[in-house]
Amino acid sequence: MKKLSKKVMSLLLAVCVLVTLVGCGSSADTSTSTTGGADSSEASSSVHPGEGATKMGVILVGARDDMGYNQALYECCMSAEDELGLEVLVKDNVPEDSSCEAVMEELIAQGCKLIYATSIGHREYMEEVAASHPDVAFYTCNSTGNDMDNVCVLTTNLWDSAYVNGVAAGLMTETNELGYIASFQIPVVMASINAFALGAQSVNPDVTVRAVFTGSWSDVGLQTNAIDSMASQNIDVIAQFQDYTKSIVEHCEELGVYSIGYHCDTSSLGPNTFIIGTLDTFVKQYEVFQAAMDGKFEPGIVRGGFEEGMCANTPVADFCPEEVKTAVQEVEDKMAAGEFTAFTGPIYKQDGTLVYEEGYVATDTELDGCDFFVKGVIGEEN
Amino acid sequence: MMSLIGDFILNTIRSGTPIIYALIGDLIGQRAGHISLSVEGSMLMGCCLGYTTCYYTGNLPLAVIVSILGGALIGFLQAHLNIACGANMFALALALNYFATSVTTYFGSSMISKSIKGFSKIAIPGLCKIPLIGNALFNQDILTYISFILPVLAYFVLYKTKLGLAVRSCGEVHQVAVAYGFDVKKLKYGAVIVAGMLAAVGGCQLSCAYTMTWTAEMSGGRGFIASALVILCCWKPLRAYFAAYLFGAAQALGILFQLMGLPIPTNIVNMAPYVITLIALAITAINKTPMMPEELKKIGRPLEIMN
Repeated sequence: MKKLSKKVMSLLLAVCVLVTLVGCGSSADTSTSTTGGADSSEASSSVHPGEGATKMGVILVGARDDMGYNQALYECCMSAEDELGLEVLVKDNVPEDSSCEAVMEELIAQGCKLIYATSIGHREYMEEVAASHPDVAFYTCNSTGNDMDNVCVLTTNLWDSAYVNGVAAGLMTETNELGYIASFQIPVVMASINAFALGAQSVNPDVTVRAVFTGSWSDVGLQTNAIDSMASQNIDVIAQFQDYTKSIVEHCEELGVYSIGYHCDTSSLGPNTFIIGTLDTFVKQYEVFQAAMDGKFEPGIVRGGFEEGMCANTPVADFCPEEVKTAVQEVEDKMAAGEFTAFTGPIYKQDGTLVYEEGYVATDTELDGCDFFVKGVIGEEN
Repeated sequence: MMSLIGDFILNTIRSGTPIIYALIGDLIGQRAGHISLSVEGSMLMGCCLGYTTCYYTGNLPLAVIVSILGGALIGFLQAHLNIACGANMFALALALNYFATSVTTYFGSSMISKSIKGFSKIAIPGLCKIPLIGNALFNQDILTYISFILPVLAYFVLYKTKLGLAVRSCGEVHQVAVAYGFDVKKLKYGAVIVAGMLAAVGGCQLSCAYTMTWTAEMSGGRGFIASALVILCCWKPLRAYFAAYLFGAAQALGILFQLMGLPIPTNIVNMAPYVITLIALAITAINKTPMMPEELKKIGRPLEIMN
């Protein structure tokens, strides 16, 4: 009898806990949506977010000199200081939890009328802060969807840049074997690998790309293992989709294998092997910030590739032949002029089935859901 | 194909090396009756302090010593708060890991962009030319060579010395240690601190030899895995080779399969190390091996259903 009541009690307790948890979840949800809704309607009246701003506050999730994403964004924002005469206040190592709200509030209290929360993980907290400061313009990057009146999302179509990198890699390879170190099979990564392969094939039809997914954005141990294995498999150009990129460029230099950079310019780490790299530099963002300062803030999403000025690459390394430099320049120019995009049909899947017909240009929405590899990529889809 | 298998063996050894240090460390601690999940934090301290010291002084032995001190600090906190203050060892370990993560992320941030000249490889003439295994076993850095003999050393100390017997008795019947005239408290402190120290050497190997790079949270759960693998070893040091290299092999398999282009989804491949660890743990548990130190049985006692 005693045991039975104990069991009943524990069952009851479990139910209680469950109910409380469910209750917490739903009540929190409703409160966010109501505050968000109320404030955004208020903001839409006649407030111009960010008007007359003289200071911009930037929060980074990592260190400002991490040789990766955070450094790229940091450099990007600091150049706004010269370009626009803004004073830029940077806070680094800001965690992606509710404590980042306090950091943003502090920046606003210091007079920042523009707030740039650079990590996707900061976004939900940024929206909370944005709801209570309709006069401040908020920016975030590399995500989609936005219905707030004082928030603007800056997004790069990374595959444009990956295609250009592919062109350089396709011309530089001697073995026709390219490697790609990636993290997870998510659409943006898969689309980038595809674009890289397409770019390489456009100048060198025999090229194959071997993708290795490490299941991590920055596990340097697995990066090292993958690079060594690739190098001994005659792969002579290694590209990447990783957060931490320094180790890859350095290790490739040590082995004498060409590398493709990502996020920020790491060419100095690979003077003899670093060919070209993607930069997280939104060329157009200065216009976007300037518009806000002039009282013409536009909420929504600013996205695109070279054509929209949302994409950039490092210059091709000096040791590359002139032919490579011209080929890269040509593609970049064509993309910038809007004459060409990476995913222009005909494009075939790994198994040879046609995905995009001759002349068809894949839309951003289609690529946001990319779940296949193109022909020439060796790697298993999930 | 030959080179793929050679690389597979090399990757197995490299992935296993930091783990073997943390594993042997925690094994010693567990034999004394204390589980140190904080070896993850110790390892991270080792990564960061080793790299920083190496960058500023270029003195590699000093880098190892400073790493060891960092690991010992975490080990000491684990030991003191658990043994003297009675804090729960698991909750404590989690807190210590977060502490180590924050401290190293903060102080290590200036090191991310720096490059070092770490432990270079020492090829053993002749032997390093053996096909398949030569490069993996006989062309390594000094810390990896030490890891090859570490389990044997641990075996020797634990089973062939009076001190080892006393440490083991702490985890079984501590009266034995008392009878031998040892201070049980000191032995337990020592064992847990050694766990932290060895894990830190593993961390130093990871940052200064294996990858020659520092990045925040670079230990990436290797310490936790090592702590779990102690069970797979059945608390026997010589089985550490098997446990650590099994995990290393499973990790290396991911890259091997992907480069071979085998039709296995990558998420499954990347899951393999953890699935294999889980299966191995389950098998060990089902076998009802009586090897678990008595003190630990008090913590991880299997559920006894009484009707």
